Parts: sequence; structure tokens; C-alpha cells
Amino acid sequence: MVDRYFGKVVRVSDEYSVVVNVGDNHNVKLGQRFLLIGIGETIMDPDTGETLEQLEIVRGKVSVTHVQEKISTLTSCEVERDRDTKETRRQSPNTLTALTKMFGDGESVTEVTKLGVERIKPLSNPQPGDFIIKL
Amino acid sequence: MLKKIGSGVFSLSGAAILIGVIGGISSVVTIFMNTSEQVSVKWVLLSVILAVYMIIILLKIAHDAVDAGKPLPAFERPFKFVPDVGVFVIHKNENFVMNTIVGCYSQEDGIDRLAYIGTVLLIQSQLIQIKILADLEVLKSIPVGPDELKLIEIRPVVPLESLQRLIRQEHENG
Repeated sequence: MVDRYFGKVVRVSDEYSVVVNVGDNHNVKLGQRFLLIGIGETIMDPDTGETLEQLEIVRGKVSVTHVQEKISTLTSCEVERDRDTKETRRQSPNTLTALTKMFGDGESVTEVTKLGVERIKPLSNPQPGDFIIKL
Repeated sequence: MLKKIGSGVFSLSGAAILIGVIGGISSVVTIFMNTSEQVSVKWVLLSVILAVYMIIILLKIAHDAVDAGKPLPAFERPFKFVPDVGVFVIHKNENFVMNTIVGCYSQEDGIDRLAYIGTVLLIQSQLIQIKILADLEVLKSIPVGPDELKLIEIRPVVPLESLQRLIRQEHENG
């Protein structure tokens, strides 16, 4: 294996987690972060025709969540956030405000911004044989 | 490189140095060697070949040293677009640092316009991947062909106004 690649994916648990072939024997620590990459097409220099290298396709950033002697479980650690939503609340006038309406000041309008929910970003199509690079 | 060496050698100072060096060597040689003595041609040939080898090696070292000292350009032209992952591929250049924001400028009819804002997604041993973060809708479609890609210049510089627009957009989209 090339020095750049620290380990290889041996199993894809789900869209958030993968198992790699390095563990305590390679001094993997809990919380350690890696970049998960797949190997793509070979890139050639169009000017010289020289073969440069294979494109590394970024699947996502992962962190170690469980370490065993020869394997480790890595889970996506990138966060994505839903879009913020704006909510407008109009309060109808009651008796007291009816009086104030007479003077030109009627219903009250409240605009509330609801922050989008944060969630863990799923990995982008992880495959067995993908590699991890130390971050 | 050769032009530089040529202009250096065939100059007034170069000629003066050359005359000085030849004079110095000949005076040293005449002190220690008998110049009237006949020597075999094989020794002359050997010394000429060794001298030529030395000159070639030194020229190569000088050439590499000049190349290494050249500053890298502050821009790169993409030579490939990978649609599956939405990245431009450029040659490795130390001006592009991981996770930094870059600008992709379209150069058409002599006009330089910021077309995309991107980020340095991954630095490989010979390549750099630039992921497009925002399409400023300057171009109708993302350039894919080699001729279209030649009109794009990627620089590690983005105008503040465009950056603020991107931040606003990111904030709205969450």
C-alpha cells in the first residue's frame, strides 16, 4: 500500500460508517480523524500526454469511533445543516388592541427564524477497497 | 538557460575572466610540467572527455538549480473537469493550500470575470482538486472540453464582495 494511504476499507456498515483494516496494531486512537477516499480514473496531462496519477475521490471526513486490535470503525464527522426557516406570526387584535386600532396601530406581526437542524453528513458512496488518509 | 549562459560567457566580463583563467592555468601548468615533453594522444583524449563530462554535469546542476528557484505562477488553468464529483483538476502548485477559497475566472474577449467560487478539496502528489462551491452564473454551463477549459484561470484570490455574497448564500441555504 502507498505510504499516503494509512488503511483500507474492508466493510461498509452503512452510509455513515466503515470498517478499516488498521487498529490498535497501527496505533489508531479514538477520535482520530481521516479523509476517506476512493480511487477514480487515471488523469493524463493533455499537453504532454504523460500519465499523472489516479484521481482520488473524496467520500468524506471520518473519525474513529471504535478500535479493535486489527480493525477500527470510522464514522462520518462532517455536519450538514438544514435551511433556516422564517415563520411570520400575526396576532389578531383583542378588545384592548381594538382600541389602539382606532389610533392606527392594529395587529402585531412577529417574525421567528427557526434554525435548521444539524445532522451528520452521510459518506458519499463508500466502497470496500477505499482508502483512508491521515488528516 | 543556454541563452543566459551564452550571454554571460560572450560578454566583456566573460571574455576577461576567460583570458584570466587560461593565463592562470597555463602558468601553473608550465611551473610543474615540462611543456616540450611529448604525451600520448590517449591521455589528451581522456582529459578532454573527462572535461566535457564535467561541463555537462555542471550545466545540468545549474539548470536544475535555476528551475528550482523559479517562483510558481499565481494561477493555474484546469485541464479537466470531473462532472461526477464537480471538481476541476489542476497541476500541483504551492500557492494553493488545502481548504482555502479560490476564484475561477473566465477570460473571454479579453474580459476577466469571476465565474465560480471554489475550494481546494484535495492535494495529491501531482494534482489538485478544486470543488465548485458557487456558480455565479457568468457562463451558461461548466466548461468541460479542453478548449473551454483553457479560458478558465484559477487563482487563490477572491474579491471580498463575492466572498460576502457566498457567505450570505451559505447562511440562507443553511
